Amino acid sequence: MKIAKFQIKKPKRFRLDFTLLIAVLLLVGFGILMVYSASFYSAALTYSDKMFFLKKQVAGAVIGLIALVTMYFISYENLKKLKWVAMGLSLILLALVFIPGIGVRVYGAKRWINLGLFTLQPSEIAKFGFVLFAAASLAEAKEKVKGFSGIFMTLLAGCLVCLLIIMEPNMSITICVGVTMLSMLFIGGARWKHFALMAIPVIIFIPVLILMEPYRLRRLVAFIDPFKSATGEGFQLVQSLYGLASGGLFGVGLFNSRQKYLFLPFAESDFIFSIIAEEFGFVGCLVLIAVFLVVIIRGIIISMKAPTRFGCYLASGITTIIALQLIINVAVVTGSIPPTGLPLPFISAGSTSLVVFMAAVGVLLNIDKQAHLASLESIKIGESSLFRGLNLFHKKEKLNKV
Amino acid sequence: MQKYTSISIRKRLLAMIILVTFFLSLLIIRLLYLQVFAGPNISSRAYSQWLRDLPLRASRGNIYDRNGALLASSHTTFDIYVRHADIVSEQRCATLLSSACGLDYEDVLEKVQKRGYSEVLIVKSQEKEVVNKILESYEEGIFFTENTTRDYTYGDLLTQILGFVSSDGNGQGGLEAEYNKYLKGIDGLNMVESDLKGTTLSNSLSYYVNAIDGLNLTLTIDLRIQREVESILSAARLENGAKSASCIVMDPQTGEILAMSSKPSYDLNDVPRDDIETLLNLSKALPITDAYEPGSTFKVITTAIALNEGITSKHSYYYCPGYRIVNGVRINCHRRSGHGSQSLQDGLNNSCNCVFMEIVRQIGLEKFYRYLEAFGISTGYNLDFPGEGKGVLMPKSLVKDGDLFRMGFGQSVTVTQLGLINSVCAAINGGRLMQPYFVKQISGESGVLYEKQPTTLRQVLKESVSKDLDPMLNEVVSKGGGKHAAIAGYDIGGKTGTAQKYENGAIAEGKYVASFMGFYPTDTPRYCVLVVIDEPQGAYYGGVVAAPVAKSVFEAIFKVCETPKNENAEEQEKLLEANIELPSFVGMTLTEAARKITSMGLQYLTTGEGTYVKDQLAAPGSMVFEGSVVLLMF
Repeated sequence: MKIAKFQIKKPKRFRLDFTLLIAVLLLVGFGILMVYSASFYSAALTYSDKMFFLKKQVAGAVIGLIALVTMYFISYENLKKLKWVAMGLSLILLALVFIPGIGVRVYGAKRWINLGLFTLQPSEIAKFGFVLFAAASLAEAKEKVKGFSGIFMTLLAGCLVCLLIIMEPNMSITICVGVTMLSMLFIGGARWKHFALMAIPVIIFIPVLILMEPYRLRRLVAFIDPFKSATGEGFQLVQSLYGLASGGLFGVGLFNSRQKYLFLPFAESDFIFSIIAEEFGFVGCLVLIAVFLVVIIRGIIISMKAPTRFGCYLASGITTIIALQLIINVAVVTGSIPPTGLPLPFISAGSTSLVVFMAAVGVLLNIDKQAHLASLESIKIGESSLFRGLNLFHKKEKLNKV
Repeated sequence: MQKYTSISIRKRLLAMIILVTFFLSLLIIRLLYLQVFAGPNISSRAYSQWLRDLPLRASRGNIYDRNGALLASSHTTFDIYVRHADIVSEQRCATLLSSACGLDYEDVLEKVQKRGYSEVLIVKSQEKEVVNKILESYEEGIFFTENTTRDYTYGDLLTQILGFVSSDGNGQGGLEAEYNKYLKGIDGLNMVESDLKGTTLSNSLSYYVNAIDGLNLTLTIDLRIQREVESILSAARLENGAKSASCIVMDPQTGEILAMSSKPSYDLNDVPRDDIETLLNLSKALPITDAYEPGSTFKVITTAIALNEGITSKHSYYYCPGYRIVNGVRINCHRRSGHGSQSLQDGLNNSCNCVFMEIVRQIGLEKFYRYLEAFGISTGYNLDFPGEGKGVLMPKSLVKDGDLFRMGFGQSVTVTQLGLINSVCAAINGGRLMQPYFVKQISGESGVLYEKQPTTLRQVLKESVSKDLDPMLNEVVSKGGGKHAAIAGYDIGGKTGTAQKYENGAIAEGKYVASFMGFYPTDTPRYCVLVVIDEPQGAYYGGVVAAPVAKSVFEAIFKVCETPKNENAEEQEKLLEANIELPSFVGMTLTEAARKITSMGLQYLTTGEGTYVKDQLAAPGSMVFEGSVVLLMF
C-alpha cells in the first residue's frame, strides 16, 4: 500500500507520449527540409520563388501542429459521436470533386477541391473519416463482428469511399483505404471466412480496373523493365532508381541531389524518398525508416493500451494508414511495385496530407493520455475500496460497461 | 483497464507489427541492393543525362604550297541559338539579333517565339565581330556555339585537288578527304552539369578536355606555277570551246606534282552544294581519275620500249606508204599520201603511224604488255589521292594484230593523264618510274612530323634510253610537229597527240582529244608538262591546240623560276620566227596548191572531196613557220 499512498500524494495527471511526439516532429521537420531541397530548383523555374513549396509546407506544418495540439486536448471519445458527421462530410467532399468549378483537374484526375486560398484533397480527409467511422462501428458491434451484421456498416462505408475515390481516379488511395478497412476488420476480430468472401470481389475488380484505364497496363509493363521505356512510361521509375543508386551508402549530401534538376518528376511529393535516398544514402534511409517504425510501434502500443474498444480500433486504424503509406511509397520509389502516387506521410509536400496526419497523431496522443488517466482512475478506485474483492468487482463492472 | 482487450486483439495487433516489420525489412533489402550493390551500375547511366557535352572543335590544319604559301585555312565562326526558357523579352531579343546579324526582324521573332524546343538555331557561321556586338547589349537567352569555317585563299584554285569540307568538318573529296584524319585534329570536350532541359546549372562543375588541333600539310604544288596554269587553262578552254582542259606539271626526277588543274571548276569558298550532279562532275580530278585514249603522245612510250629492247635506234629507217594492211584491214597514217622513207627521228617529227606500227610489231605483244605493266599504266601508283584511276589494257587473248598496231600509236589503249605523264617521265629521266605525290610534309606545332621522300617504284628502262630519246623529242619541238610549243632559248622536248574519241565502240565524228606532252630541260628534265584539251571545237590537232597552251605553261614556269636562256637563244629565235606570210590558195586545184606550198617550204593536208580549194587553215595573211602544215579544204 506504500506505493498506492505515494501515488495518491503525487497523482501524475499530465501525460504525453514524448517518444511518439518527438519522432513525428522529427519527421515533419526533416520533411520541410527535404521538400525545400527537392523543390527549390523547380520552384524557382515554375513559380520564380525557390521557397514556394517550402512556404506551403511550413504553413501546413503550423496548421498541422495546431491540429495536433487540439486533438491532444479533445478526448477521443467525443469523436465517436462524430462518426456520422465524419462519414457524411467525407462522402460530400469526395462528391464535390466531381462538380465542375469546384473540383480541380490535375494530370487527368479530379482529386482536388478549390477553396480559393488553397486546394484540398478530399481523399486525404476521407481516409481518416472512414477510419473514425469504422472504429466507431466496430466498437459498437462488439462481439457481433463475428457475424456479418457486425461488419456490414464498415464494409458499406469502406466500399462507398473506395468507389468515390476510384472514380477520381486515384487507385493508390483506394487501395490504401481498402487495405485499411481489411486491417481494421482483422483487428476488430472479423472471421477468416468473411475475409475470404471479401477477397473475391477484390480479385475480380483489380484486373477490371487495370483494363479500364490503359495507362495502368502500360505502367505495369514499364514496371517490369523500366529501362526498356526509359524515355516513356518507365521514365519516372528510371529516374527514381537513378536517385537511389547515386546515393550509394552515405549519399551525396544535403542539397547535392542531381535528380531534382527536373529529372525526377514529383521530386518534392510522391518521389521525395528518392531524393532523400540520393542525398543521405542507404544509411539515411535506414534511419528514416527506423524513425517511422518508432511511430508505428508506438501507435500499436497505444492501440493495445487504449481504454476502450473504440480507442483501440481508432489507434490501430491511424497506425495502419501511416504504415501502409510508408510501405507503398517506398515500394513504389524502389520499383518494388507498379508506380502509383501516394505521399510519404509527414514528409512529402502536400498541406492537406500533412495537417490530417498530424491531427491523427494528436488523436493517438490523446488516446495514450486517456489510457493513462483511466489507469489513474482505476488505482483511485482501488484506493477507496476497503476490499480488494470490491476492487475486482468494480473492474468487472467497468469491463461490462465498456 | 483494458478489460476489453482479449488475448485475440493483442495477438492481432502483434501480428500487425510483425507484418509491417516484415515488409519494411524486404524494402530495406531492396534498398540495400539498389543503392549499394547495383548502385554504381545504375548510376553510371545517369551521368549521361546529368552532363551536357559542349563540343570544343579542334581547328582544322592548314594547307600550304611547297614554298609555304597558304592555300587553305580555317577560322572560328559562331552559330547563334536562343533558348526560349531563358528569354526575358522576345521582342528585345529579336531586335538585337536581327540588327546584329542583318536578318529580317519578323523571321527572327518567329524563331525566337518557337516553343517546344530547348534551343532554336537563329543563324550559322557568324563572325566574331557579330558575336561581340550581341554581347555588348547582352540579352538573356542567346547562346553561341563555336564552329569552324574553311577558307580557301584563292577560291577557284586546285579545286579538284584540294576538295572541300562538309559542314560537319570532314573532308569531302581531294586531299581534304585523303588527309582528313591528319587535318581534322581531335575534338575536345567540355562537359557541364545541366538540368533536364539542358540549362547549365549555376554552380556547375565542368569537365574540360582540350582539343588537339589538326596538322598542317605542305604540298608539292608550286602556287606560282599553279596560278598561271589555272588562268592559261581557263583561257584555252574558252578559246577552243572545249569540253574540258587539263594540265599536269610534274618533276620527272622526284615524282612531285608541281601543278595540276582541270577546267571547268568552281570556287571552293562557294561550293555548289545544291546541285549534287554538277558538284560531282566538277569535283572530279580528271587528270587522275579518268582514262582516255592518248593518241600520238603515247609514241614516246613505244619508242622508249623499242630503244630499250634495241629494236630501233637513231639509225633505223622506215618506209611509210600512207597505210598498212593488217590481216586484210587497212590502217591509215594521218597522211594518206604517205611519208615515204624516214628515220626514227623523222617518224617522231612527222608523228608517222606507220613507223610505230612497224616498231610495235617488232616488239611483240608479250613484251609490249610487260612494259606497259611495268610503267604502271594499268595499276596506278598508289597516289596520295582518293579515286586514282587506272588505264585499261585489252585482255591479251583478245588482242589482234590490228589492235596491237593501233596501240603502238596510242589508240586501242587507255591511260590516265597521270599514268601517261608518269610513264613519259620514266622514259626521259633515265628509266626510273617515280611515285607521283602531292604531300611533301605533315607538320604540327612541334615541327615536321612526316616528310615524304621521292620514291623510285622501279627501274623500267636502261638509263641510256633517255640519253637517246631526249634529244629526239627536243627535235620534235624545234623542227617537228611540236613547233608551237618551242620557246627560243630553251631546249624543250615534247610530243603532240591527237586522238579520235570512241563512243559506244564506234569512232565519234568530230570528237577529238588534243594533247601535248613536253619537258625541260632535255638533259636531266626538271619539268614535265602534259596538256589535254578534250573535244576542242574547230582545230583539233594537238600541235595546234595543245602545244601553244603547253608553251604558255613553260613560259610561266621559266618566268616564275627565273630560268636563264641558253647561249643559242638568238639563233633559235630566228628559226622560230613565223617568217612566211601565207598566200590564199582558195580556188586552186590540188596540184597547183601543192606545188606552191612545197616550194615555200611548207607541208599540207587535205580534207573534203571537191576539185578546188574552198577554204584553208591557217587563213591567208597569217604568219607561219617554215615546215608548217596548211590544211586545204575541198
